[in-house]
Amino acid sequence: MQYDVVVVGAGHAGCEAALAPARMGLRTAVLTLRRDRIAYMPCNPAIGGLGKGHLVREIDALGGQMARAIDAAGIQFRMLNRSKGPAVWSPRAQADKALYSRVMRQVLEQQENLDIVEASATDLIVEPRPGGGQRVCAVRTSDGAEIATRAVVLTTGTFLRGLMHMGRDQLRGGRSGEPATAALSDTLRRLGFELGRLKTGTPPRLLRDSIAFERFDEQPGDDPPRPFSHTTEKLEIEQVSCWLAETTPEVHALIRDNLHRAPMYNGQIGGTGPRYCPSIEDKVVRFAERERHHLFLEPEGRTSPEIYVNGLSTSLPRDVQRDVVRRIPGLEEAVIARYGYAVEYDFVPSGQVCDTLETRLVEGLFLAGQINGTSGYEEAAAQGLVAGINAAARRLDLPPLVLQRAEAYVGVLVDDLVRLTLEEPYRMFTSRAEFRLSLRIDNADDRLMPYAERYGLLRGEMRRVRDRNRKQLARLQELLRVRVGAADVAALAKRTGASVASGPLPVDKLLRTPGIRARHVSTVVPEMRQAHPEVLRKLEVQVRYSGYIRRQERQVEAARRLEERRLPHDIRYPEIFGLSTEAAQKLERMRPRTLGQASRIDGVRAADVSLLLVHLERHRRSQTRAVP
Amino acid sequence: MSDTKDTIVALATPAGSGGLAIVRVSGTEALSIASRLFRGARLTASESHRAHHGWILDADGRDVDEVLALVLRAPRSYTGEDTVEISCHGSPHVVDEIVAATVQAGARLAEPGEFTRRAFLNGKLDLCQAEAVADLIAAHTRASHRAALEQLRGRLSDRLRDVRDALVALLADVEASIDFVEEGIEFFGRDVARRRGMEASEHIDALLATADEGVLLRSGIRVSLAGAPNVGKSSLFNRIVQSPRSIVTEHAGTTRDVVGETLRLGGILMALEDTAGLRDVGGDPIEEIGIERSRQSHRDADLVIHVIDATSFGASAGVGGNGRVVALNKVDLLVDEMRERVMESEDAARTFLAAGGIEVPDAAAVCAVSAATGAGVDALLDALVRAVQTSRLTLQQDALVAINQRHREALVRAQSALDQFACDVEHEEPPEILAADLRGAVVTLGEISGEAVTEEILDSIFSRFCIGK
Ligand SMILES: Cc1cc2nc3c(=O)[nH]c(=O)nc-3n(C[C@H](O)[C@H](O)[C@H](O)COP(=O)(O)OP(=O)(O)OC[C@H]3O[C@@H](n4cnc5c(N)ncnc54)[C@H](O)[C@@H]3O)c2cc1C
Ligand SMILES: Nc1nc2c(ncn2[C@@H]2O[C@H](COP(=O)(O)OP(=O)(O)O)[C@@H](O)[C@H]2O)c(=O)[nH]1
Ligand SMILES: [Mg+2]
Repeated sequence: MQYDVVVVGAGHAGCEAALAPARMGLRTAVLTLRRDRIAYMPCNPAIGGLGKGHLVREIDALGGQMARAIDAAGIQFRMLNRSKGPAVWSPRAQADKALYSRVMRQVLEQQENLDIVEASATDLIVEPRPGGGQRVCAVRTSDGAEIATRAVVLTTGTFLRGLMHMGRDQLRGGRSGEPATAALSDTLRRLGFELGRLKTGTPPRLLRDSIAFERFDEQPGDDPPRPFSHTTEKLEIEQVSCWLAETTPEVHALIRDNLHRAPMYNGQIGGTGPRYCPSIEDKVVRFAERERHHLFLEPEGRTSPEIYVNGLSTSLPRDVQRDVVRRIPGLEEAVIARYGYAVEYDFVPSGQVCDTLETRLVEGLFLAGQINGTSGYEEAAAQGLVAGINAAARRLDLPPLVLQRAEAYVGVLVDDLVRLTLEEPYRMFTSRAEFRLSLRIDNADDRLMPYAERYGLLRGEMRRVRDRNRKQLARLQELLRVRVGAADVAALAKRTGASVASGPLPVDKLLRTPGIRARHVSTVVPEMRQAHPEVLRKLEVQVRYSGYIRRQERQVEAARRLEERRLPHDIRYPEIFGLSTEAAQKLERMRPRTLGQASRIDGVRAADVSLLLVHLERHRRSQTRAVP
Repeated sequence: MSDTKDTIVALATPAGSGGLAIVRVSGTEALSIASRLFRGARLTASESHRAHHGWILDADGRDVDEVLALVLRAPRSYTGEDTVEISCHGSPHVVDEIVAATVQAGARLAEPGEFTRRAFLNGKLDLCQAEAVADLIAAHTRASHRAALEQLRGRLSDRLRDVRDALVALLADVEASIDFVEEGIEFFGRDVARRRGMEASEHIDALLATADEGVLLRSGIRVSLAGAPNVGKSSLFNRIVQSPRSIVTEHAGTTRDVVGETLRLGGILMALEDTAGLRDVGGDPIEEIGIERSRQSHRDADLVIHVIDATSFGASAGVGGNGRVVALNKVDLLVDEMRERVMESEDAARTFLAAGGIEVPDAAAVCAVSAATGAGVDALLDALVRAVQTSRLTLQQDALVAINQRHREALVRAQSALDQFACDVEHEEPPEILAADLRGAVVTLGEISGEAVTEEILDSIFSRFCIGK
């Protein structure tokens, strides 16, 4: 057996990592422990949310699959932050988990050039690389087979030496119902990788029929629902609701009384968990003054009998989980279908992959997803796509895909992974993007479809949508100068209640008026009505933000200049005069490609960057002098 | 740049400052080098922060001085490196011998500021503190000294950090309201935001208020020579610059342009500028430019020396503006009796000028001088120093902090970001816009002491809000 690219794992990272090379025409295999768990969601039944929704839009514009899959498997869609500006609007959807998994599996099965192999990878085989180092040459599987390949993407999620905790009980496993993978941890160590340990947890699931829903506030979806994908025209589904519940001081007291039985607090768990996703025992300890915490009851699917209790992540023993749930108002009769648990797993700490997600140690070996220290389906998928594209690009001799922080959340994500020392699982937030105002869901296509095109991932419908959007937007921009007559302006003001100066006004001016939307203006400028609603929204956002974006452009420019100063690959940091020891160590480890990357490594300070500049300058001069 | 791998040595206390002196040896070899010239305990085996009594020996093994050797191991020393501080007797001869012996044993003489540079590079000082030290070393002037010392103690750093911390906390609140909507908690009130933005703004104002003095102290006080052509400005300029009392530190400029020298006088840095004469010139464009430059120079000057030709008042323009010192020049050409009178008494000089129709404001000093002979130049210099000291240019005893040009620019930029913030709050702009304004301010203030932002904001959010499912 021989493939151009072999992807180990068919989780959210693995699926994207496998689809991209196959679509680029390469023979690709994806290994998974269980075919029926492809793109499985082990934790909450939702895709998107702040920052994460942005990632999904970008994955879509880059030719990935996640947005389309959730459009097909979503059962409730909401646009978060609608009361704020469009840069921080972010889509989120409740997924029918089983359907999501089925939809994605079908896409994989139908994808040309892609084989799904149900087997466990147990070892990587490497060979010396001409010119030094090592390179990957095959993957060995549990049934003894060797799959020859020059490019491997590891996306093994929480499976590396996975250890599940529930009270005093410990169970080896990547997640409930699946075995852990210890062999690959050993392989990575043998190859010279350093491994770290993180943990994450999941709440209990309740039986739908045992819950008194009438006692909770209902949270319906948006009407109409807006799809994630650029190519989904319309969502025609009946949406389901979620419900809002709360803990009480009695619940907290009960948890406090049982802390000694929580693996997180009795020392049983060594890995670090995420602060943004604390277990309920964490919340009770760290925010002792709070009397209540929010809980969201989310269906696991349209017809699934299970309800996910968002906010109640825990690894307390079963009997305590039962008591806790039953003290929550409205859940007195609730029956736990599956208990919450925590899982500890190995990951590969930052500095060991470079900004293409290829490892520094082994040529042709890429890492993506939870194995890089992130958590979340969207973060995983984004990395999977980047790693898949780069694994293929290497085979096809195309330039690698490295997105800048000013270009995409995907760029922010990868850059962070390359330079940050993670102390907890990493998740995306919009505040991580310093150029947030430019990285919006409405312009993901403008920003990233050119890359999709470069790698041959701009397929069929995507191309049509992009061309349409471009053409219509250009036309709309011409219309900005059109003057709307005084009578129409007055009518608009009346209808929207916005305060507008009387007399004729250009469209541009009207769009800047608070309370007036593009669709309002389009009622008096008939030509605008021919544009797609998405394009109208693009225009609206462009006009509203233009001032701020101009302001930000200067910063983007400054960042770009630092990004352009490349650091020689053979630079020896410990030998550079004056670098602080910490900076020298970090730089030596992370080996940034540009001064921009170097400046963002924690522990590298402004003074160190100046020293590097001086060093580069000296280096440059000594080189030019060497030329007669 | 010199090499940090070397072990360096220098006197660490001010030269000639009394009974005791400290010679500091710092670098990877500090302990072994010091122990080679030290008779007493074995320094290489010593714990950190332990002082040892003993003798320093020269290359021939003769005792130089009885000393205390304090061992400071990395990173717990000023430079962050292994260090030995040798307390010896303060006589220049002893110090020289000890330094020489250390160099013999393998150390290298430290360059000015090198200890501090190492301290900074080893993360012992932040950028502000290091700049203050650099200023201290560069300026070496008394007035500047105090401000620089203040800064060194980290007062500027502290103030800046306070303002920055307040802004980071505010930014974290705004960010939380964006990124954690799913928590269903409204973190963010506009009135509170406005108030907190204003507080930060006021703090920055207060820091900026001290900035003018700071800039003055760093770049020196600007003194300009004014007067009609041929009254002797250039001659006087040369006199002052060559006077053994003014220590000239820098040179710049060309003939028709403004010529300037920086000198140190009475503990004050002065930038003295000679200019083209003030006179209407018909048509010579180069001269025109020169004259425009001199007008500019007079306007920018903190102090103007008006030069008047004692033998021909006719060409003299009025004495006004920022002028505080009048130099009545060419008195060597006056008859002896008259020369003696104007040189002896300022009143006589004033009367002399008044008789010629030139009114001098009371606040201005009048000095009779001869650029040709140098007579009266010392008195003129004294008058200059006095003029500076009695003006607002003097550093107040309790001046808060001095700020150098870079700090000033950063503060101004932070201030304008906060103005934008206030304006955007007023116009009820959405939080992502407010966040962009605040981030601008925080980043700018961070440049002053060089720190990163995002992780800090997240830390602030997570430590204060209960976030998560
Ligand atoms: C208990 C639990 C709680 C979680 N809680 C949260 C949360 O609160 N918030 C959050 O954002 N995320 C949470 N997650 C994480 C989220 O599920 C992951 O971030 C995301 O699924 C990671 O995607 P991935 O593609 O990296 O890995 P996964 O989705 O885990 O996929 C790994 C894939 O690799 C395959 N595999 C593993 N080893 C081998 C092998 N040796 N050979 C072949 N195939 C192999 C598996 O079969 C699987 O298909 C949780 C996960 C678990 C298990
Ligand atoms: N006797 C005498 N001549 C002077 C004195 N100062 C300047 N001069 C002369 O006056 C002329 C003009 O001097 P200069 O310094 O060029 O004047 P400026 O045009 O004001 O710069 C030169 O010839 C000088 O030598 C002085 O104090 N005594
Ligand atoms: Mg002259």
